[in-house]
Amino acid sequence: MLRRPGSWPGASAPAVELTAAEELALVQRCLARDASAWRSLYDRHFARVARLIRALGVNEGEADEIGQEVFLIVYRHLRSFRGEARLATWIHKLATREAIRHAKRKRMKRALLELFGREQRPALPRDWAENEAARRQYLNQLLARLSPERRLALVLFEIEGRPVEEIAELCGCAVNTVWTRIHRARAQLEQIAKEGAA
Amino acid sequence: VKGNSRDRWLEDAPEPGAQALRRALDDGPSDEDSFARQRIWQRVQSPWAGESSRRTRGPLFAVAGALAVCAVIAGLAQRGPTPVATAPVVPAASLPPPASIALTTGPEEHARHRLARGAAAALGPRSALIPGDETTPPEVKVGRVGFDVPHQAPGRRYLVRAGAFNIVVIGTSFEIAVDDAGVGVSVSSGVVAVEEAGSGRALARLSPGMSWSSAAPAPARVRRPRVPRSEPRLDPAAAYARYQRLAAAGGPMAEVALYEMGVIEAEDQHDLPRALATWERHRARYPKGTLRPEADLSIVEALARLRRHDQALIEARAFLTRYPGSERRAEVARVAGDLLRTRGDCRGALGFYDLAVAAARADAGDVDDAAFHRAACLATLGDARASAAARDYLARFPLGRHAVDVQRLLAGGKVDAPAR
Repeated sequence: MLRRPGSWPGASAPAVELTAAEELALVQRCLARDASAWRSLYDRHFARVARLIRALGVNEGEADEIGQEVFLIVYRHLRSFRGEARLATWIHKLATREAIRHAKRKRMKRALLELFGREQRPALPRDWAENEAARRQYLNQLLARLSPERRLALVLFEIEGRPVEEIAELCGCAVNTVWTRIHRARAQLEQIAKEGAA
Repeated sequence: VKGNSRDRWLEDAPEPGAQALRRALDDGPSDEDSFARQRIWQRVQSPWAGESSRRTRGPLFAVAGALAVCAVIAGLAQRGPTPVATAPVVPAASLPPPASIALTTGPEEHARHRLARGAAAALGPRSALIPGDETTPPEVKVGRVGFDVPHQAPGRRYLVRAGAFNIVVIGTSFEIAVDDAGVGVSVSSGVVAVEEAGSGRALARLSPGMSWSSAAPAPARVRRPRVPRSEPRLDPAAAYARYQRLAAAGGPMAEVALYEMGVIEAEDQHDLPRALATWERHRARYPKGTLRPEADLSIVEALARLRRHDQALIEARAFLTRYPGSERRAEVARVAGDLLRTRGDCRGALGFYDLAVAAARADAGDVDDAAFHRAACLATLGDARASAAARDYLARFPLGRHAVDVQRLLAGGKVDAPAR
């Protein structure tokens, strides 16, 4: 039978939730170069960091480098973690900042391409109804038209199903700003999708 | 839409572009790339290594990146497509390039992997795929592999190798089967061309619904009956209709078809009660069938997912009795232990965790979980063996997924078994 990770009860056992004090202790052990503590921190946070990077449209070739960079930045900044926020929030904020920085560089390159008229409108693939990979590619083409901030807000909200309050915390902005970004991203995508299909 | 909007955005949009966008959003996040997890871990596993000498960081990561490749190979060679545990360190010089690492599945496994250039591959049981990279095409070595390939940039061909043939695609869903009978290709959508690998001579051009097979034998080790070419993950409705006809017609394919109907009902139609009934019908009709263990296992899984825990436990116990040599023994025992533990029966769970930990052939993730929960249950019961169990865990999985929690356990902190 087709098995998906986590489809059985306990197939991917969730890590025990750490208290704030335990998170601080984990950080201290990481700083003391405890390999198992660092592995535990990585395992607890990798999946969401990876999704965050993908949400911003980093391609596969670059995703490893950014993932690496994020965790090295996390380690370098661990000394400044005071336990005032949850470790997950703190790490995801760092990851968001790094991924947005990268996405902005990439967007600048794309803007240059657009300027010279070399980029095509996203075309709706003929087999979109049955080909998931084609749909993903189409979605990525559409999302590439959005600013990193709008893209992040839309992906976290529409695909990941995260509450706007959490997105606001990750982005370091107000909840209303997140709503504005989501609505504007939707309007922009709707327009492009209609034009592409025409 | 999640959040405080009540309507789902674009749900009733008439434009195909908007409908495609909604569907793409509903597809959800792409599968976690377990290989990326391993690759990146190998690059960051010693972040302090650069602290003493920043100048050595570049070369150090180059070597670490190569080690990541080795980690994946080791995981694949021994356990199939979901490597979880830590990576052994071996000399980088002995490592093959990433494009040549075989992705494999066991006798009862399916796996889905992301490939270069936006493609995705779904491996059926006993299959092997060399994934390739941006410049090297993937190659199906044996078994059945379904591909989803997005449209490629103008002038770029997407090519898959199978035996002595190249399958050339532009943007499509298709499946390749390699076995003793040769190479077979069936197309769900788009257009595929088949050509000779050596000469490039065009042999066939296939549209949706069309199939092609070679007469020449190809390397193969699979003895399982040839399954119809409709891949449930790619075209469930068509596959289901075909399986229904095959199951009703009887003959050697009927058993496989009936089993696969249950898979589609569970995974694509999300109708677990119906899938359960189909698998029960399957084992009633084929009590000594080749897929009987698979049907039994699927029934345990379905019952567990339906939260019919009592029946799931009965089935799990029966499975463990009936198949003492099964490679899924640790997995079933661990699930049975989890079912009892979540009901508060730590004492009952211990027996199953013992079975899982002692299983000769097992996925390291299952043993890791079982060993941890065994220690946690012993601690909950106030059993004096808890410390020894925790130390055993750390000896076996020094960098395991529960290592930190076990260390807390040893330090005297209370470790509650995670609720499901």
